[in-house]
Amino acid sequence: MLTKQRALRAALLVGLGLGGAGGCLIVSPLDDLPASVDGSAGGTNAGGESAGGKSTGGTAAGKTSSGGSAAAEAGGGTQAGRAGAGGGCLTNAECVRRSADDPYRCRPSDHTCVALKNGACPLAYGDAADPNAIYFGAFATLNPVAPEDNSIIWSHLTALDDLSGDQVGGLPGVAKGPRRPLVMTVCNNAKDVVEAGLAHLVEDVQVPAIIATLKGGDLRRGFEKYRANHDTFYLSPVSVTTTVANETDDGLIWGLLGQPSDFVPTYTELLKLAEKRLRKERDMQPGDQLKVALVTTKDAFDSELAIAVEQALVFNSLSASDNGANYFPVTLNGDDPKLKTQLETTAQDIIDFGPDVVISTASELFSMDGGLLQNIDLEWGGTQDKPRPFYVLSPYNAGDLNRAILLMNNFIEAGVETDPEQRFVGVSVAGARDNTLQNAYSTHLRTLFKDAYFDTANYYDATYFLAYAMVAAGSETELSGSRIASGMQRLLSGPSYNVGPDDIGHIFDALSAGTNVHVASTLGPPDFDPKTGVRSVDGGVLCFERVGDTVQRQTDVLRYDHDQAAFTGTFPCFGDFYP
Amino acid sequence: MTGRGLVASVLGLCALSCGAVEPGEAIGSQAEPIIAGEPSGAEQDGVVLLRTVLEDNSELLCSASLVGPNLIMTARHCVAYLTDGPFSCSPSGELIDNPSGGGRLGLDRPAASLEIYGGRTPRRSPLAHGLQVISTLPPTICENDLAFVVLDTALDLPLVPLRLGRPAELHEPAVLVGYGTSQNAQLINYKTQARQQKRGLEVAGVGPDSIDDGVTTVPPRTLFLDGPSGCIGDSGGPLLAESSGAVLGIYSLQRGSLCSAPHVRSQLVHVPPFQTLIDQAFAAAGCEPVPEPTPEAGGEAEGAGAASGAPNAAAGNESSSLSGATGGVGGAAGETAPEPEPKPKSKTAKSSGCSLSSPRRDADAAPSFFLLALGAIALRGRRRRLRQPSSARRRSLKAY
Repeated sequence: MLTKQRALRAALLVGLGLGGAGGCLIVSPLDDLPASVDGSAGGTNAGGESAGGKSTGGTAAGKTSSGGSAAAEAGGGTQAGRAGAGGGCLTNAECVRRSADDPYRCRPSDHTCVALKNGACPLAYGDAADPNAIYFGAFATLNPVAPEDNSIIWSHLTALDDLSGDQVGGLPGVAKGPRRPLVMTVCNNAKDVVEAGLAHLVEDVQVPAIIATLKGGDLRRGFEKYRANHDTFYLSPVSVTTTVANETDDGLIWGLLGQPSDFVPTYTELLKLAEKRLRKERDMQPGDQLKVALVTTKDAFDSELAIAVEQALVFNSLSASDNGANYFPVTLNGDDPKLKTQLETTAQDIIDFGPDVVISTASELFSMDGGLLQNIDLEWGGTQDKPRPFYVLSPYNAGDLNRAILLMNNFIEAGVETDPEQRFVGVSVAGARDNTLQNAYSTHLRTLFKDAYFDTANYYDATYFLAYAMVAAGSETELSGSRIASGMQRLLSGPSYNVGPDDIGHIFDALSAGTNVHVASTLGPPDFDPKTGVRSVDGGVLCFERVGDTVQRQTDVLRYDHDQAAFTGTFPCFGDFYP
Repeated sequence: MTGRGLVASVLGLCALSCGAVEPGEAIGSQAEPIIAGEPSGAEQDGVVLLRTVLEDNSELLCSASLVGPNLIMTARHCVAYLTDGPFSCSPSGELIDNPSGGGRLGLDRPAASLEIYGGRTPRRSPLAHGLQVISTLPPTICENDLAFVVLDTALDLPLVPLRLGRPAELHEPAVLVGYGTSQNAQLINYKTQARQQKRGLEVAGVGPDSIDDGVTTVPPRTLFLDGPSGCIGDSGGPLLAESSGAVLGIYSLQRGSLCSAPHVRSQLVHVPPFQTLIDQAFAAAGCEPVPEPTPEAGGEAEGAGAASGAPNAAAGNESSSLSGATGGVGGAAGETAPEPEPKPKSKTAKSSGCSLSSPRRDADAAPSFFLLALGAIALRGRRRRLRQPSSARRRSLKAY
């Protein structure tokens, strides 16, 4: 058995190595979105990059800058060049020219040339040299080898291609002046540089707005650190913590994908369904007790989700706390320098506990290569002769499913288990009830970036909301976070329009005329809580379906309808579960 | 411990308008005799060996210039993640013809993985490690392949002056210095690899400072050298003005798969247009660049170190700048040496008659050449990698 387990583990690791692209769902707070980064992986990257370069990415450095010659001459030459990093400037083009065509802006606050990129923020897109450019920041999980191969970025670029590409050319100009192209600086949200990235965007580049694909704790820390001296608007395309949602922020923080409490009913209903199925499948008698482990981490979102879920869980007709020894909560510490050992030890503790169900409210520590899930399922056995546990994956795990899929596929191939997919379901954000906009987005995305993962519409929506909020903010040349926040309020009600290229002109016209609009996004209507700025969401359910000798995920098969307090939809993956 | 071989880190197809075509050259790599140079003396000790230790414990060897006591200048592809595979660079400096993503640069490697060694052999422990990498973060190797590395230790070595404020001149005599493979060597051992210099070179092309100046046969902010000069391991090494010893360019790429081919063309990063980056790097390092000595001040080498504002007290007398082919020119930028007057931007590259009317479409019709990025990886490291667990093998797919 041990030999087989080792062989299985080795096979899994090799499989992971060759597996390539990672999956993701829109619910993922910070997943490592698909990055076809292997240099030897063939041509998969080329198309994406080519498309990006031709759409919005390739001319980012102001190579086509216009109107910069006079300024460049005025500021050109050696002395101006020396002053480039810290000296005076009059135009963006002047700064770009001084700086080897690198994207710079002439910072209005002190007329200093500042680089849009640095080590923490290595990417910039758009015509930085344009005198009317509007600069904003964004975050993504960047792969060191190919940082531009990133579905979050591709999603933003798809929206920027609509809004700021050749056809539209940017946001409406001030007093019917030239269009204002959008210029995006992308920072790495990796733990070790996220603080530097925020500092660069807020203090150096002084952007008025950031699309904050950040963990809840990082977003809160950044906001609180800079709020006193910088007027910056934050729009989170991912779920935020309740702490962030309830932050006294003067409307400066908005969120698209809800908060932990939105997902709790989905968890509790899934556990009910799992208990029903397991009692039948495992021939458990009424007196037999179901054993449940709940896994979380010290990350702010994860721990908050765990607390909320724990309070609502019911199994064996008892609350979690009343279940005593049949309930086993686990908290992983991602800061542990001996993380591998911690994961192995924790997995063994869980195996020794022998859960029937393992519920994850954890992020990558659960689903990553070498994470807790792998450790539990690969090491299961030995003294534990129960069947492997049933898993309820977290919204974060839903964006990082490749390892789970490979695990299942390897179990099937190795003959370890016949139907491993019948032990997995996951919680995610339910998509829009009407998929029309989502489908249009997916098609559009793939025409520009053929390797892009299409369940990334929340990033596309975020770019649109930010752009429209900037337009709605008014005709000030220099936008501020507060004005953009006010602009967001103008997108929630009024004549209804959709995100996407078709309605851009109508929305520009309406907002410029002082009319508020209702912007329907790929995720659905703009159901933002006016008090918190966070959009409420329905939980969704994903599962895995067997196709031949492999499994495939099925997303959004069920929706927890808050109005009906019940699931809706059909469950195609296995029987005796739902309804 | 000593058996190390070489692999070329990048090969590619490069489209350069109006250039000679070598369609028959294979995409392959091996160490070739290079340079036909000569030993580099102690006066060039400011040219250091840069060893980048990769995640799988293999290594990448490059050359670099000590431009401040705690600051080196090198090629960015020596200090950043690079996607392997064939590629081309268009005359406007765009990466093209890279079906497998070759030529793309990722993020900077961890600065602590960068080790600096001097010229004296055998080398044992590094003189310094990287503390911070500063570059324009270009997404491809085709443009701005230049990086500075702030070191954790100030080095007591001669500082290399920079040409600032005026470009390299077409046909300007120059000297290339580096730790690349030599005439008969097939292996590089970082502990023993000798530094070489190649005299008698001349600048064969100077690109415009900005794409806004138009597209010529020479990409923006690059220099060309024709004929054999550098090879594997010389990436990041300086091209010095023969008259002053100041850095004109940084060795980056080679068109053609054989370093020794008579018509091989090398592409270097032209340093003077990077004034802003230079300012940032020296500000981060807390020092000043050693300006280019004027020809009449050629013998006043001793002042260079003091003029650099180096925290290294010993630098004053010992920081004689690098000499070029003329020997004692180096380090002439004494305190009294005025900074050269800016001269009109060289338009010589455009005079080659190869300007393209459509800068954005140039790549489509351009003939193809080979480019060779000159980094070196020890075979030992690669062999070890093959024996490592599968997780390490996964990483090797991304390595060179």
